[in-house]
Amino acid sequence: MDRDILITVGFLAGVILVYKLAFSKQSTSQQAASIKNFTTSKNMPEHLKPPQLLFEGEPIIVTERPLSLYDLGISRGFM
Amino acid sequence: MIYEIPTRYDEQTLKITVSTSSPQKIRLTVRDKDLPNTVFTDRYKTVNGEACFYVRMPVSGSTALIYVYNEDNGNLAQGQDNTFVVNDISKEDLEKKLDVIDFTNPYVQSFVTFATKFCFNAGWIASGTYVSDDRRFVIEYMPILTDDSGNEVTTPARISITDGMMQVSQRQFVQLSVPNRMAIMLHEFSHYYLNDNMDDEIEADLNGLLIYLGLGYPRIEAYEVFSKTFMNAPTEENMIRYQRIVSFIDNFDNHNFYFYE
Repeated sequence: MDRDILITVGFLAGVILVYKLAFSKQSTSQQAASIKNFTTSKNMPEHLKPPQLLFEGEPIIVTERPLSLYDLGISRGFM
Repeated sequence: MIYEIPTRYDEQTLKITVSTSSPQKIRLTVRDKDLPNTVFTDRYKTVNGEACFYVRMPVSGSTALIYVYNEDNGNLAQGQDNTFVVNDISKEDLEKKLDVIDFTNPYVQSFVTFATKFCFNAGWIASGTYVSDDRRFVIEYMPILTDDSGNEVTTPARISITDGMMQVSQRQFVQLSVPNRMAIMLHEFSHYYLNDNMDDEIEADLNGLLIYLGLGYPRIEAYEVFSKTFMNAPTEENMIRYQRIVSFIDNFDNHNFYFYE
């Protein structure tokens, strides 16, 4: 008789435990958005690294416009 | 709500699906987790039912933070705002149209590379003079831009008509999104390096936009940056410019785009 009671109590405890686990998992998944297709990190690629500073006296290549600035009646300034 | 997403420096489109049971003004901001003042989009949409936000990201950092919240309630912690639900966040391919960009022009390839580096990092780098790897392009990153009298001007960037050197206002650029910055830099580049008439603002707008859109940058950020700039100078010319820009972007996405000549 005692053995039957123990089995019954054990069975009920197992059912409650499984139910609680399932319930808590469901509520978490309802709150959080599903996040798909993302993988882990990698190193910063060259084309996103900060640009280099120009130090005084360093040479640069100046590109001249094929169109004469004087045709526009402008000699100096910014657009 | 804030979601942390590994974007791992990839080009991509983020798709964020949100649903509401009544009309709600939902704000979406995507920013870099590690770099200060590095925002990829900041926009809102009034959502009634289910809606998707698509965020085009030709550039991204290692990790992005996605802020989604109801503007009326502010950014509350997860589970505290039941006026909307974020159903799904996923990563999709970025649609580009590189064939519209004249990469046979060596200036275009070089400047796009330089401008990408500059715009991605402009939120945190120091003011100073920056140069492209091939030393063809120079950007003076100045705390503010001033006129001849020393007064601050509203323009965020400008280009010299004599040598193509650019000047950029750090004060204004740190507040702009990465795509906003890119649209401005491509406009300035176009004035000197692409335009037939160097002085033509509309020609520079459209030449710059063609590259911007072809690279896959977000349309909404282009509308936003030009409208912001024009609000500071609400002239009739700028009204016409804005109409041309809107029409150009619409035509581009409907495959009716044309090359400005």
